[in-house]
Amino acid sequence: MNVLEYLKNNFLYFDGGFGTLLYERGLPAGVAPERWNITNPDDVTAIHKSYFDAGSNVATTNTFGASILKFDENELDEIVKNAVINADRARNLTDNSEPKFIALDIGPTGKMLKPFGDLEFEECVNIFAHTVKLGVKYGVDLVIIETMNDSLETKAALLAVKENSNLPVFVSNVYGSDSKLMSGADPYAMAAMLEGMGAHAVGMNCSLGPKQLEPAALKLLEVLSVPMIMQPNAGLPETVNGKTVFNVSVEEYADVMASLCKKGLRIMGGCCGTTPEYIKALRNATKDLKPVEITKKNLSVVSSYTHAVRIGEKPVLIGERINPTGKKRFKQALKEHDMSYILAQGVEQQDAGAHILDVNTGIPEVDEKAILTDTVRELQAVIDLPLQIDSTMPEAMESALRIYNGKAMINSVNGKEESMKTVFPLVKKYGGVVVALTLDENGIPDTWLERVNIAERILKKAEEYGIDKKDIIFDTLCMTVSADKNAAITTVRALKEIKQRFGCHTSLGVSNVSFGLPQRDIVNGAFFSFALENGLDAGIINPNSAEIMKTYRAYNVLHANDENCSEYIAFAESVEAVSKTQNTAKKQSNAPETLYDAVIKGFKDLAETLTKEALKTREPLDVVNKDLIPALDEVGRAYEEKRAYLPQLLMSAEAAKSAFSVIKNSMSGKNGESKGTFVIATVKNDVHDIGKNIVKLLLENYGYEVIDLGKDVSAQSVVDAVIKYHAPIAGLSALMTTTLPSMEQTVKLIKKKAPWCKTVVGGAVLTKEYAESIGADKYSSDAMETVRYAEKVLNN
Amino acid sequence: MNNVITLKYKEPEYNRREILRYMGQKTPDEISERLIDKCVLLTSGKLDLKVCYAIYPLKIEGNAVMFAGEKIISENLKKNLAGCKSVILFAATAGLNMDRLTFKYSSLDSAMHACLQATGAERVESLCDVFNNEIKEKYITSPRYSPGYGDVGLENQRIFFRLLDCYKNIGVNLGDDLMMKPTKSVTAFIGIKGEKE
Repeated sequence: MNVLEYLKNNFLYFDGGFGTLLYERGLPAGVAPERWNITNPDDVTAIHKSYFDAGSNVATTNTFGASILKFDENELDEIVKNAVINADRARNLTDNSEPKFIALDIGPTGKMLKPFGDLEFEECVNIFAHTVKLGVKYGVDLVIIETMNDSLETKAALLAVKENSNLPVFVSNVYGSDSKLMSGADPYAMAAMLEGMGAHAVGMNCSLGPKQLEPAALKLLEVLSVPMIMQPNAGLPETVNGKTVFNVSVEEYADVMASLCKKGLRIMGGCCGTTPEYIKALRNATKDLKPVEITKKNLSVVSSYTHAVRIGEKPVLIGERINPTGKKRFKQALKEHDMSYILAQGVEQQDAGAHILDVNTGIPEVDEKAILTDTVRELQAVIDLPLQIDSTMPEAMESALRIYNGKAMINSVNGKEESMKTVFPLVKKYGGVVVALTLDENGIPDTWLERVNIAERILKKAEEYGIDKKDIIFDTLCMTVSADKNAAITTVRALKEIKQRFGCHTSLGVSNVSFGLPQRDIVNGAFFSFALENGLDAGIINPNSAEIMKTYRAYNVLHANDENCSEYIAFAESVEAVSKTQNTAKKQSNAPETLYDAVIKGFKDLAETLTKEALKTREPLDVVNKDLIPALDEVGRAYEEKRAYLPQLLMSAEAAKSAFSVIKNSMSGKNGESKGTFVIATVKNDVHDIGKNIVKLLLENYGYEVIDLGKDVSAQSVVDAVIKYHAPIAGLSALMTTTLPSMEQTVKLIKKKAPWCKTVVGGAVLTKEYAESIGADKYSSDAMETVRYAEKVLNN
Repeated sequence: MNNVITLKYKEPEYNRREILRYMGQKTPDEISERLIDKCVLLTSGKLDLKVCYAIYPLKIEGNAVMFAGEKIISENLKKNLAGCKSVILFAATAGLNMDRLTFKYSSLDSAMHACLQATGAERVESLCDVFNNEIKEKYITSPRYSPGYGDVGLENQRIFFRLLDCYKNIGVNLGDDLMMKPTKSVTAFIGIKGEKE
């Protein structure tokens, strides 16, 4: 019998702790427990049998740490093979006559994924894939992924199982006392991602006792449409008379678990500190219970690495600003791979109140697959909002969905056969809520009815792919009212109809409606209100637009979506505050009066405001030459003379940067003059880039075009960039002694292949003598010295 | 095995002087204070401060320091642990969120980035102090000593990770370059000479 069949009407009992029992049988410290599958098969079999005897239905193979990271191919093969044989022997030896299954155990790699660790996502998938393939080869009945601390690593493991087997797969994470994973995800986020990807059971193990895990368990039960698995520790370890004991008794453990079974828990077992006794007690405590029926929850939900966002309750705001359409500055950022600009757009929208961020990086000049994936990777490292992956290129979409840390919103599919054929399999595989546009081979229909008909066809097709309607959200496509006076009416009518007829959720790009009109915000705000009143669930909007946000906050108050009107009140106060700051920013107690002083003292927002003011009456270059450069010079001098320190140098540079960006925007169209190109990098194997970033910031403020190659950059890449831009100067930084050889190699390669280029080197471990010995043209002890040197080189 | 204790801590008070010192400045001024205020506001209540530790019987022969089946040859560590009967190995971390915040500001604001780096260093050191003081209340101890000091090479980090299972217990991982992730993490020995009366 298949384990999923069995689960339909029965509780399923896993086994308990394994490591402690191995040590009791004499496993020496320092020996990998997995090796005992080969060297001590009788011991391993005996432990499995003791659990079967106690009433387990599932033996978890002794393969928790069995990966190609720890063992070579041959040994790994032997380990998994024998692990399965041992479990199977126990299955034949026990008197327990119930159906019994063998689960391939997959534990974490023990490594952290990039960008916070060293491990690449695909490498991680590959590590798990190795073990999964062996499990399949030796005939396990299911796979259990367990003790996972990190949502992204969990995803890698689940992908590896899905891509290399058709086995049932259960996924179990480690929740702390705050009901979150160590990487920050709450149970709702994990449920969304794992169910979306097709896990057959979802749950938790390890870390805490059953009582302490209960809050996390109840949250999972609230949202899961698949069975929940739970294998807690026997409480927390305590040292009693020099021996480690766990503080939850067999009875208490069984009682709490039984009470959770009444609330829907279906699959149970134990983790650290639990023994066959615990499993036996568990069986006894639950023997008279009937499993609670598992119901479909039908939640439309997307998630980030921390939390889930539900669609269909309160309307959701999707920030539209990460999109190059009609934005010169954004296109430039994409071409230059300027991630900090893109990230700043994300942060700004989050601060303005967006719940989800749309991410579109499609311009003809760039490799969309690479840039979309990079952007998603960078955004999800720092912003905890779910992302809407927006691309017309299936390869780009898949690449981004793969590494996305959660359940994404996918933009979009439409009624064309080709579109459905390419997008639906991605939705099925990676999970996601997909935006479905009501257009087809004949374009966007003029009538609402035809759009509804397309929606119906899309739903039918989705069903063929096994995609539930809760994971489809319809966009009935608003065109501009300046070209078609009925555009808004038709769109909203179609939206309302789809919602009523099919019970589906809806989304709209709100800003299109006003294209070609003056003061577009006014129309956008009113249209948003019109659509919300007719059942819009998610608006793709500009969260920086005052009209949109006013409409949204007011709508929520009027529709009882805002408890105590608290969100509205906070918003109203912020609107007031903003209008006041325009006038009073300067008048704060110690705030500077002039732009020059604002830069010197590092007041970033004020510098921006004052620059905008100055530009009303003065030429941009005048502001640069009379205020910004003198202020930077003064702080630079003070720093060199040790009258100022790093904090002031940096804060003042940041203030100048925000002033410069105002100036750049005001000059868009005109070419800003660059003093010359400076290639900069942290050398191969070195990931410490703070010094390099400071140098870059100052150089940019002084008017140089900086080609920043980032950190851990090979000598060849530096040389390639120097040649490509014919850069007269290149700067290299290294923080660790171990990476100095890379610096030497890079300097020498530049000298050889690009002899015109001057090299300037710096970093904590560097000395003037060392710089000379490797042939660098200049050693810089700090960022200002590099600026001075650049001025010297480029003036000659 | 399983003798590792994991502890979760409330945030200790911020040592602003230390944050400033990590940024290379001795005397606070209005500008640096403003920067530190921002970092304190940003990190306060957002960090997951954790320690895991275990106590092992200690044996010293010549320059060989031995515990838990491990052996470190070191003149410096021997001196540090002289007269101790057992040794605590511990790992402390300011957690992944500290790295996330620092990473976020690395591309948004270099002043905040530098200050968050300093704040992270201060947070984990303050955490070590809190833990160390708790140990000192119970035991007579030697000063804490970390791999990387003196002749105790960084490769000894592996011993901590082998014995303490730091990834599972507090989410700290050791890279191939022997650097810890999250980056604001510390490992150290504390020698125990005896219990306090």
